[in-house]
Order: sequence, then C-alpha cells, then structure tokens
Amino acid sequence: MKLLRELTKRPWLTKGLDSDPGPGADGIRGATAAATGMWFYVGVASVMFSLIVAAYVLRLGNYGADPAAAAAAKASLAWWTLAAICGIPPADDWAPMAEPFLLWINTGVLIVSSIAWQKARGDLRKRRMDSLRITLTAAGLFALVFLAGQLTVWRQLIGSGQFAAVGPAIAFFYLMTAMHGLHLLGGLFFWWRTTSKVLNGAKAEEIAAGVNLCAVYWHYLLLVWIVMFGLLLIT
Amino acid sequence: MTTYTTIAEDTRPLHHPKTWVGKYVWSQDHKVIAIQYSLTAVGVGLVALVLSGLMRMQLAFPGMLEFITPDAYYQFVTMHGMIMVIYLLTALLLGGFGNYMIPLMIGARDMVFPFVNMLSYWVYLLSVIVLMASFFVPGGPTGAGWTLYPPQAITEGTPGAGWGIIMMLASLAIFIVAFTMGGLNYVTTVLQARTKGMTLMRMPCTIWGIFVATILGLLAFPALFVAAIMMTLDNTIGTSFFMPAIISGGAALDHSGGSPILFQHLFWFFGHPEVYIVALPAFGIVSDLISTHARKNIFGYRMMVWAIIIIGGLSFIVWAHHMYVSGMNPYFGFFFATSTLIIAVPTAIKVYNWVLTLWRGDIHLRVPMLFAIGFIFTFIHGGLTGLFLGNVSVDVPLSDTYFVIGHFHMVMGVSPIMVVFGAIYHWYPKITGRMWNTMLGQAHFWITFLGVYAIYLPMHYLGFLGVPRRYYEMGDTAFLPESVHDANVGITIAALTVGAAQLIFFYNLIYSYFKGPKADPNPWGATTLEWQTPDTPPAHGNWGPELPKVYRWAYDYSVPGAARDFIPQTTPPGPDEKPHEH
Repeated sequence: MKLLRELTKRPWLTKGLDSDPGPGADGIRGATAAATGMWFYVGVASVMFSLIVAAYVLRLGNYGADPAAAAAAKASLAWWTLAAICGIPPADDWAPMAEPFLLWINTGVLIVSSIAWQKARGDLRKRRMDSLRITLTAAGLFALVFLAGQLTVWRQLIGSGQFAAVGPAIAFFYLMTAMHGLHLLGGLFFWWRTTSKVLNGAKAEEIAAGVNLCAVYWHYLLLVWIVMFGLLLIT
Repeated sequence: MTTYTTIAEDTRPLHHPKTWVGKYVWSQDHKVIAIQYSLTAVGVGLVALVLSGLMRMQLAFPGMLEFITPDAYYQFVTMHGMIMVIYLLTALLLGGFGNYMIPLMIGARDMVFPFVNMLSYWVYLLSVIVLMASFFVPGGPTGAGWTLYPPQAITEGTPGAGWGIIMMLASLAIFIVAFTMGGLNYVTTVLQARTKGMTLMRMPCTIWGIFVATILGLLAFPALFVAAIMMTLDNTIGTSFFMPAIISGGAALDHSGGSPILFQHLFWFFGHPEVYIVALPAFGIVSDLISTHARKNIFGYRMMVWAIIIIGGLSFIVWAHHMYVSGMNPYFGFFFATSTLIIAVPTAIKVYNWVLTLWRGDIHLRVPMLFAIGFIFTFIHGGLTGLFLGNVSVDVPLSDTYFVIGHFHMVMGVSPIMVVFGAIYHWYPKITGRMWNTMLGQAHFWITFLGVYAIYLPMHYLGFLGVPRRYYEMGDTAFLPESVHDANVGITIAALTVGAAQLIFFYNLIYSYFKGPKADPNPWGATTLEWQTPDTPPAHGNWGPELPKVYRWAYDYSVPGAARDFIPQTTPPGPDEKPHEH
C-alpha cells in the first residue's frame, strides 16, 4: 500500500527534501541490502522450481497419440493444475518412481537442519554465543548429511539400473534433486562465511543478518524439497 | 559497529586499487565494469553483424561465396540471432548502461555488491568465450535456429547437433548465472542505495526502464535455464523431457514420450519477456533523451512509469503468441491474442507521450535527438506490424515468412539499437570527457536510419508473397515472381551499406576519444544527477566527499521564471517555489 501511495505521487509538485519519506517509509528502504538481494533471489529460484513442477505436471499428462485419454484430460481446465493431486490417470508411458526409504530419512535430516537454524536465531536473540556456535555448526553439518544422503540415493538408484533414461518420473527426480542440492550448496557457502566468523569470536551484531537470512533461506529450501518430494510421492 | 540506515549515507571511503590491473581489469568500480560489459558486447555483436552480411550475400547471390554451404548458412542464422538478442542487446543495455547509469543517476557511490558485480562481468565473458569456442569444435556451432527447438536441435542432420548445441546450452546457462548476479545488484541498488531526496517517483525514466527490465530478466531467465538443462540431459544421458518417440535416419531413437511443445512453452516464457528486457531500458532512455533535447518535461511522467510496470507485468502472459502454429487449443490462441493486443494500450500511451513531449518543444536536433526521433519511427513501424501478427488468423499465413523477420527486426533489433546509438552519443561526453564529431554523427544517423528502412520494409512485401524464412535458397520456386530476387539483391546492398556505415561510428568514437575537443561537464544542459558530478569523467566513488541531495524531479526543463531552461535535481527550491504537498 505504501508503495502504491508512493507510485501515485505527483513529483512535479513537491520540491525540497521534505517529500523524501526517508529510509523505510516507502516500505522498501528499511530492509538491508543483503535481505533485499536474498528475497529477490528467492523469487528467481521460485520461478525456476515452479517451472520444473509445471513441466513435471505437463509431462505427466502428455497422452501422445491417445485421443480419448487426451480429450478426457483436457476437458477440464482444473486438470492442468490439479492433475497430480487429483490422481487422474497419467500418460501411458508414465512409470511411477519407487521412492527409496532413504529419502524419508534425508527429509528428516533437512527438517532437523532447519530447526537448528531456527534455534540459532533464538540463541542470537538471547546473545547465547556458546550455544550459537553449536547450533550453527549443527545446522550446516545436518545439511551436509542431507546432501550426502541424496548422493547415496543417486548411487543406489544408478546401481540398480534406475538411471535417467528409464522413465520420465525418475528423470525429473534427478533434475529436481540436482537443482535443489546446488541451491543448498550455495547456502552452505554463506553458512561457512557466517559460522567461521562466529567461531572466530565475532560479535552478535556482526553476524545477525547472516544468521537470519541463512535461516530463512534454509526454511525456503526445506519447503521446496517438501513440495518436490510430495509431488514424486503422489504420482 | 556503526550501522547505516541506507547505503547512500555510508560515506566511508571506497577501496581504491593501486595497480593498473586492479583498476582496469579486476575492477569493482561500476563504471569500469560497465565499459568492460559494453566493449565485450559490442565486440561479439560485430561478429553477429558480419554473419548477417554473409547471410545476405547468400540470399542475394546464391552460391557466389562457396564456403556458405547450407549447413554454414543455418549456423550463421542461429549464431546471429542468439548473439544479437542475448549477448549483445541484453548485455549492453543492462550490463553496460545499467551498470554505468544506475549508481550515477540515483546518487550512489557504486553498486551495493561491487564484488558480485565484478564476478558478473567475468562470468559473462566466460559465456561469450564458450559461445565463440563453438565455432571451432568438431561440426561447428549449432544450426538449430535461435529458438533451438527440439527434436531437430539435437538430432542427427542438424548442423552442430553433437558439440555445437552443447556449447550453446552451456554458454546460455553460464550467461544466466552472470545475469542473475548482475541483476540482483541492479534491483537492490535501485531499492536501497538512492541518495537523500531521490524518491522512487523522482527517478529518471532511464532508471525505471532498467529497473523493471532487470526484474523481468530475473524472473524470465530461469525458464531458459531449466530448458537448457533439460535439453542437455536429453542430449547427453538419454532422458526424454522434450524428445518424443522418433525415427531418425531409418532407425528408432532411444527416446519416447517427451514433449517438444513443452520446450516451446519454456523457451517463450523466457523469450517474450526478453523482448521487453531489451525494450524497457530503451523506452526509459529514449524518454530522457527526448525530454532533454526538446527542453521540455516528459509528458505524463507518472503514466510513463506505470506503463513500464504494466508492460512488464503483461509480458509474462503473452508468450504463446509465438506458438499459434504449434497446434494449440483455439481457446488458448484467443486468450493470448487478447493479452497481446492489450499490451498495445500502455505501449501506445508511451508513444503518444513521446510525441506530445516533442509537441511545441524547443527541439535541438543534435545527434542523440536524431536517433531518439528515429526510434519513434522504427518503433511505431515495428509495433504496428506486431498487431498483425498478434491476431491468430493473420499470423497463421504470415508465420515463418519474411514478414516476421521484418517485424521483429524493426521492433526489437533496429529500435533498441537506435536508442543505444542515441544513448552513446548522449553520454559519451560524460563517459570520456571528450566530444564527438557532429558531421560524422549525422552521416552515421542518416545512412543507418534510411538504410534500415531499405532493408526491412521490402521484407514485409516478401512476407506477403509467401517467401519463407530460414531457407538457404529459393531456386525456381513457382509461386514466387522474379521481383523477389531483385528485392533480395536490393536488401543485401542496403544491408552491406548500413554495415559499412558503422565504421563511421567506430571511427568517430575512437578518434574523438584521443583527439576530440574537451567536453563541457553538462553539454546538453541536463537535469539528472550524472551530469552534476564533480569530475568528468566521474572519479571512483562518483561524488567526492559528499553525496548529492535531490530536491526535485528529473524533468524541470523550461520552468517559467527560472534563470536557465533547466534546473538540476540538486538545486534547492527557490524562494517562490514553495514546498507543495498535495
């Protein structure tokens, strides 16, 4: 709303410095540069992951040469968005993926990592630097364990002949996990920058922004993973 | 630790590099990075210009140049298109002008993340090197057409189906990483680093155009990124995202069930906003050129800003108008035709406002203004043919003909380039501290402006006659009259002339850089901040010890009662200019 009010001002009428509402008053300038940058990046990543999901759903409903099935599916516009959730029969060549149990464990590990980040934020607020060192280290290590777990799933699948060419679901699985993993790796770079500062005795104010932004980014990646994993499970 | 509420208030001295390498190679100064971006983009653009000359030679004089085989022709077409759209225009308008202008026009010392900004350029350079390297791999660069449609892009028989396409996809992915780093910088800088008094609605249109275009880029390029990764996987490890069951050379390939249409959707979900990623900065810049050189405030400033935002938003829901002939549901065609035609409304508002800014203005026909007015002509022309193609029933017969070539070259090739030339002439005195030669600039304008009409106007007629695009040669095609061939010869002569005329431009820039007369710090009498710097060219840190303060909007030209016909944004209100809150 503040932004709307700003955009409807008549700049030719107002002269002087008074009309500058100052930092924060137009609803944007109050944020730090790092936070603005991160939120825009979350926007970029969200578009990318949404398009992967959209591609997955479209591929699921690619009926090819079967006109009856295609007509039935396309009769309803809602199908295009809800196909996966409603369980409408997928394309003939669709082979559902048998999700290895290890993925559940990995999901749990990623949740624990996110919880550790949340606890780190609490520690920071209460200025408990000793506890912060432990929670921060744990948050990063759990994320590393998650990545190792995902790689193990890849190895198991490839070992049992389930490589990308087997079917569309499994191909998307590799694409999704690779993209998600790369984003987590990027996050770990910032985790390392923040954590090394904390371990070297940095003050709470110096790392506050880093911890808070990393925590939000971690929660975001957890959400992305849950959506992707959920999509694989129900189709 | 001191905290700063805005970056603009952070007056700590910047890190000053001592060595030549630190200053000009690994520089974190936005102005040096901008020039690195621009020179690289123009360099690779010249390659694309030469390729277009070769294509024209083949079309006018088939078989005369023996090295232009059908394969080579397709490779030239592909590389010309991709380089011009992405590696030249996107990189030059955002990486070049965005980098140079944003901190200067909003009163900041630099971008908010200077290191990431530097990284952005070097990653961009890497993408250009990978792209150029594809000329030298076995099989040469890809010849799939700039849209890279599968399945043909990665099946046997298309030039560069082995190495070339992989190099292209890799280069695109690297470019997108570079763009994202630069783009996050541009939007964050505009939102966070504006100086005291520079409210959003006091920003010049140039900044609005670059700002919204960057947001479009950030949200559109992921689609191309995903498409490039998926096609690479189809090509290398045998997935079937885009590849249907297909028989190639008599043998069934190991693909089945993939959807080539899915690629088209992803490609154009990027590809249409890309048009506006190029056009919006041009819209913004041309508004400022027209206002400055007509000594008049821009007509309907708020409307201009809103139009930029609305066009940006609408550009995400029109992509399938590039796919009318893909066999999609007619209702989809109806939807996309409607949304496409709605875009004409804010766009027409902008055109009217440019013309109304000129109306009864004190027009100075200096070279930047010539290019700005030239842009209005070419843009109206290209925009109107867009209305033809936006309608499904008109598009179907015209699809894949030279009408389409004529349309998109006018609207997103020639028009942005007119603005780029205008902008270079406009800001050259600030960037180099020297003035260019007026007569050479005028010659450059007139040959280019008349030349592009001689090139692209006949293409519309060729399109009506049904001449298909992307054909290596027409031979004795029965339905085409002999005049088609004459037109092709004429177009080629015009194209080579325009290409050669660019030498005048480069000569003018290079000669003036060394021998041109010293430029006034504000030769056009412009109001915006970049003309009020203490040094010309601006020094590292831009503003000396104190940041400028902004007291007024960017368009106080010919204000009644004022001493001069412009009031810089840094001038405090006079005694009879009451602060006026509405």
